Amino acid sequence: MSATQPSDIIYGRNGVAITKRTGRGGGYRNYEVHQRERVGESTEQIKPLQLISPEHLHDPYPLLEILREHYPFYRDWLANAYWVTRYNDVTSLFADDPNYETRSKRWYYGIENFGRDLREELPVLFAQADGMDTHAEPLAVELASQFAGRDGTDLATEFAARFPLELLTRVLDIPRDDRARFVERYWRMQRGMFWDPLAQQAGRDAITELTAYFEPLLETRRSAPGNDLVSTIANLELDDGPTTAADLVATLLEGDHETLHGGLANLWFLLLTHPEQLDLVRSERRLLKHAWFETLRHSTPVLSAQRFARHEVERFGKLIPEGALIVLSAAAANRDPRIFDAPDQFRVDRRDVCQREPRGMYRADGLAAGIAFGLGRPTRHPAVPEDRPRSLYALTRDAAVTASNVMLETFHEIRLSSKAEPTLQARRIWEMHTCWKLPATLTSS
Amino acid sequence: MAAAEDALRNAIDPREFDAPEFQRDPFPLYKKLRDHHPLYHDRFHNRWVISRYWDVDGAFQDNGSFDRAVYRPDGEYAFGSEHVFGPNILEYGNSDQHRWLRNMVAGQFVGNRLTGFLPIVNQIATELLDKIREQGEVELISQFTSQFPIRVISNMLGLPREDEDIFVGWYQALIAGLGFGGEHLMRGVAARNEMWDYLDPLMKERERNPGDDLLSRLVAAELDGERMSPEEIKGFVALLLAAGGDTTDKAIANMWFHMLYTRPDQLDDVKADPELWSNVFTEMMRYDPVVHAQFRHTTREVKLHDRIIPERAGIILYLGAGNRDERAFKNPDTFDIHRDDLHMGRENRSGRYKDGKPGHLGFGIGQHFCMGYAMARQEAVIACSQLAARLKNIRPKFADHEGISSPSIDSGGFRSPNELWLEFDA
Amino acid sequence: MKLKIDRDVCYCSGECYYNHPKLFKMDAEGFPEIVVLELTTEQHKLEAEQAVEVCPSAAISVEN
Repeated sequence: MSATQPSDIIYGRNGVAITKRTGRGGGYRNYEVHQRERVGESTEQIKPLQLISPEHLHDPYPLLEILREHYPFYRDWLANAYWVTRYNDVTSLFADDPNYETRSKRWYYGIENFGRDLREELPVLFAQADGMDTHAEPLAVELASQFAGRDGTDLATEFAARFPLELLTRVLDIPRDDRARFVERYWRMQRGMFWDPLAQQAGRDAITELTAYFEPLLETRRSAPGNDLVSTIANLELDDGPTTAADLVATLLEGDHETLHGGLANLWFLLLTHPEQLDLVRSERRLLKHAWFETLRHSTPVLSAQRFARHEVERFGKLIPEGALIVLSAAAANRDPRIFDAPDQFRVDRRDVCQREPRGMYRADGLAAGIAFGLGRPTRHPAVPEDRPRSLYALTRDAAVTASNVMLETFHEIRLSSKAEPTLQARRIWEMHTCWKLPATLTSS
Repeated sequence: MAAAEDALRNAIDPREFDAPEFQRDPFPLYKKLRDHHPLYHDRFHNRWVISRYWDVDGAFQDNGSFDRAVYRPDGEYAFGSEHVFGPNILEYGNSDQHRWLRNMVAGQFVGNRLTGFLPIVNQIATELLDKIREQGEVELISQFTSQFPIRVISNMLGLPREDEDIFVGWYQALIAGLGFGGEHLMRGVAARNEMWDYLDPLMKERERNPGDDLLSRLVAAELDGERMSPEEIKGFVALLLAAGGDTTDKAIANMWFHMLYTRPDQLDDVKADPELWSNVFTEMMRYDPVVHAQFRHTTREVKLHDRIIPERAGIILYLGAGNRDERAFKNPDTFDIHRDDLHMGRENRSGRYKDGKPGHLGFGIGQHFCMGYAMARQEAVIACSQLAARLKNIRPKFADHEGISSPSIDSGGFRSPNELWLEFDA
Repeated sequence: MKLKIDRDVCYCSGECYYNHPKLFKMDAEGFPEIVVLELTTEQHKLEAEQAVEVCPSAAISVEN
């Protein structure tokens, strides 16, 4: 029988002891690594089926805690994915573009070749920033005026869901009569990304309808541009040909509305269910910004993002296969007790959340930020402030804060309606975790 | 628009693969896959699904394009001394190493070696049936099928008969622990460790005094001047219990399920001619095999059905779907031990037969064709014929049965009934 | 030295071409096709002997 002699041990690139085997070809490593990964940890505390259960959709945090504390790199064989749940691990993979690929929404939809995503073009970034900054407050005032005098308002549907899409219509300068139809189509397009074939078909139809709608508008604005995003896109000069309606629609698809929608809904859910926090914000208005950040940490609406390993790479003591699907859980990372003190508490005045726009690995001033995936990575455009458009992170923050501030100014009292039992919920797997019903009574100032 | 409506009706929601309905009855989804999505890109589960008979066969045969290893066979990393489970042939890809290890052991389960073990197989069946035959009824799985193959294997290994009940305990913990979901892994690992502690002195003894048993042969086996390491041998024994025990146990249960519930009319034929148990085994392996899926990775871009599968993509080959393909079998959804379009009897690793008929896909095909195929077949046929011969007037105890299903998918996808009660004249 | 296959005895098990892909490959019907016509190297001869052993129907032989 062969025995392992000391001289047979060599050390591999990653410091792991290797028993030298001579004369035999590949294959051995496959099995060993696979087994170490499979068997090295007990997974008694969680079964993959739980991760698609209704309980988990309702409240993901208990299972995420189990993953984060016990199986920080978890092989979910059911979903054929790997879950990463600790803050430092999530942030490190999130920014690691060379090793981990982000796939576009169009890939998930199965329409990889549809249009070009123009979100990174400088003029687009400027136009979006101008649009959002210009229109956020007037739109919020308009919405708030509609709520005045009503018996009650559902802040989730009337405010949080409407504000982002209405804002988008202003940024695009959609003609007033077309706005409602645009919002319906946009919503249908975004919903179609998730697996249900009926919803997917409806989404594809919406994409077709939007493309047809924008074709004439794009041409009009090409020759007579305004300040809006459609005009900007129409007049972009790109190397590989003039912009088309498909490019515009692709860009809209890839854009994120969920963080603003879900963030606003979750923010108001948390404030109304923690009245002492709402009082604090009312008395110290600067804390509204902090409340937004704390919401994105405590109850982030977009729970996770997916990445695909570009190569086989060893991390977390395991070998990740090429092409592996990795789930980066923002929700788990945001409650990591290694980073945040009393992470399960919603506290707008906490001192351990970054209050400035995060850079790089999501830290500025040495503080961690709540991770919210929809807001992208720090811009790659020039670092000099005048040449750099405001980031989506800042734009979203300001839009949310502005709109919420208008609500606080317009209504000196905002309370949950008496029989309301609001809750956060993801309606289907991978969909955002937010409040879909938030009945409130608003008393005008 | 009719075409759009059709497309919608035939569209697949990938979450269906995780639903309990699929575990209970995968065949409708298989049909949708075969007919409308013969190459299905499941973006939810990050893999590609192949379901038609000849595409599954083609993938199994094409070692240049489809590899079993999860990791790149030519990759840089070479892990070594810290293996937990012990070397195990199941995880090898298409390599010389795989062929070496397989050739070392495959011969122990076919031909003369296998024939030499058959008396033991008969004896164990007899002993188990002796305990049952006065009862008038029996729950086949707990009292027979889950006992039978493990005792056969432990005898093949030459382990002492008086310790058989201990082995049954280890076996059950191993099965629970080594399922795909990693559930109860630590208990499985503990059982495996106990088993290995048990085997260590035995292996040393057999090296000094080799016997005729499988363990002695594994210890002494040599190929190209090299022997298996102790870890490799122990790993193989653990594999034998899992892959050789659990599957055969479920196969026997499935055969009886079909004879009692699916085609009780054909049970009469089999009672009259016990040679037909071979057909029951074959048709069971086609109609609803124990293992429905095998996994591969592409090693290069592969063109199939006008699409390109990228390199290093995960592939799932649904044997259970291929076996029900009308393109290979007539009336594929009918269980019929007399069908004339299926090669009956001993399977070939190649999946090709001189009678020109297609075989079932239940053992896979090609490089990684099930090594224990001959043994599984013999065991199942012997177990079933003895049962039928010794228990009179066998009939189902209950008129209804929930059917064959996968167990909780956390434990892996092996299909069999959860329980199977029989009555007979005591 | 050459490999020879008795087609009457062969029943297409495939053990030869799966174990020794350098010497045999599968034809359209499942019978083996000999790839190496002349066994010149030691490795070939060794593998050829193993192939003779591995065939379950003893259909392979080596001739001079």
